[in-house]
Amino acid sequence: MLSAFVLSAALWAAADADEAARIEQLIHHPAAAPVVAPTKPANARAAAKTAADPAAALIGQRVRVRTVDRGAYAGTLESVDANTLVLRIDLSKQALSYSLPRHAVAEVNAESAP
Amino acid sequence: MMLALILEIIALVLGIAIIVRVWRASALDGVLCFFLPFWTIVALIKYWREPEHDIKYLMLGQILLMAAAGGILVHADRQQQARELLAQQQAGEDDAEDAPGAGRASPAQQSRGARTAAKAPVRSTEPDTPARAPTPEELAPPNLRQALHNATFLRGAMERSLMGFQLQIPDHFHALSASDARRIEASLRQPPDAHLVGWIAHESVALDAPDAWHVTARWHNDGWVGGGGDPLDPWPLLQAAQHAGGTRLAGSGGDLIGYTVAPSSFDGVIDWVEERLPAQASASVLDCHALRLGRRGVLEFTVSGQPIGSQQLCNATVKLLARQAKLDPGAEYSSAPPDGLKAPYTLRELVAGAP
Repeated sequence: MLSAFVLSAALWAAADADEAARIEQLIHHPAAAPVVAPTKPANARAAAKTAADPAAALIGQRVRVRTVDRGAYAGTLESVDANTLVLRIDLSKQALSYSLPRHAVAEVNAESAP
Repeated sequence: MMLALILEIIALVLGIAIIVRVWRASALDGVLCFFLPFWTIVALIKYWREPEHDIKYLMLGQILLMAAAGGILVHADRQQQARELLAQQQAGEDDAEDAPGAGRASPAQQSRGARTAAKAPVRSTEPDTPARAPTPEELAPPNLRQALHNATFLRGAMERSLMGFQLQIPDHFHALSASDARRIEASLRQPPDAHLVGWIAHESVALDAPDAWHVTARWHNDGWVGGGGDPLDPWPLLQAAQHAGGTRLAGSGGDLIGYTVAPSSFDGVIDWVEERLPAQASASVLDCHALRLGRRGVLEFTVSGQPIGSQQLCNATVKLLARQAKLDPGAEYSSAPPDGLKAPYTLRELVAGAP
């Protein structure tokens, strides 16, 4: 019981120390901080170039976009190319054309899809 | 303190006994022990096996006494710091009551330093004597440089016992009390914030620099907050937030474009990063939030108006502060609402804003 408590306390302290060290690194060397961006294997990239872009079929529809950094954007898909994905996002007083870099996009789904 | 002094005196007597004992073995070693404290280590080893001159028990006793005295002094010092923080907190609460919104503050009271306030938390009950009306210059809030100059930067822990929590300030960060933060916000022409607990900033950040950033700590003393269905599903949250009329959280205002980091919950901390387009702005900015739910309210940590691409830093900072915040025993979040302490909003409404 006591050893479990000590172990969990140590893990908490270690996690906080890691987080604090990461913050220091981001403040002092922001470029050196690791960026979480999964890379696709070479054969997958080659296949993506030859295959039709599935996101292109969703142009004009309301879509939900998930990014690789746990981001979430929703809007009407205006255009898609190899580098960017453009959403029209309706704000309270204007409609915004918002570009997302393709390498940051994890998935695109039609809004009605689960 | 008196006990520490007595222990120090006994340790001094043992130190004299050590020198006398070594002197009896060798006058030179005795003199060296007197002038060179580390020479006692040499004498300890040299006379270890000589029953008449060994000093191991004397040294052990001396070390234990010194450690006990040191421990007592450190404990007393911490108590003193806690008392000072409590006095500052009381001074901050006095300032909150006297905020410009309440219409009772004099410019002299608003501009006084936190240290001065901490020394005089008790107000006189004597009736006010007549005084001349303040000039427009005296009524004007202090400028940012003055407000920063008068501010007291705190390190370690920020005890807020009346609210039932303690903020742990991480290494290389320092904090400003609510009263100091309020003065700085007044100098920036920002409206008074009734929920403000303080500011936390990295020690390398100059708060008057154009790219300065800080964490705003706020306490929503509204009671226990329930989830409200699936509170952190990002899609309904995003839709609700884009149609929300207002928010209870600090931030850049304007419209929500999307979540750079969608809301999620881990270890009792809810965190997310919003990309917003402030009113009349041409470029979007990031607002990073972390919430720590408590039994009587919610602790909020927000970094607002950050440039695109800085989400890793601000998200990690607010999460660390929220995770390290300590709720007092009995003030921790419970899965069921306590009697009579339910907030008039759900977690979903707190994250997304009111419709």
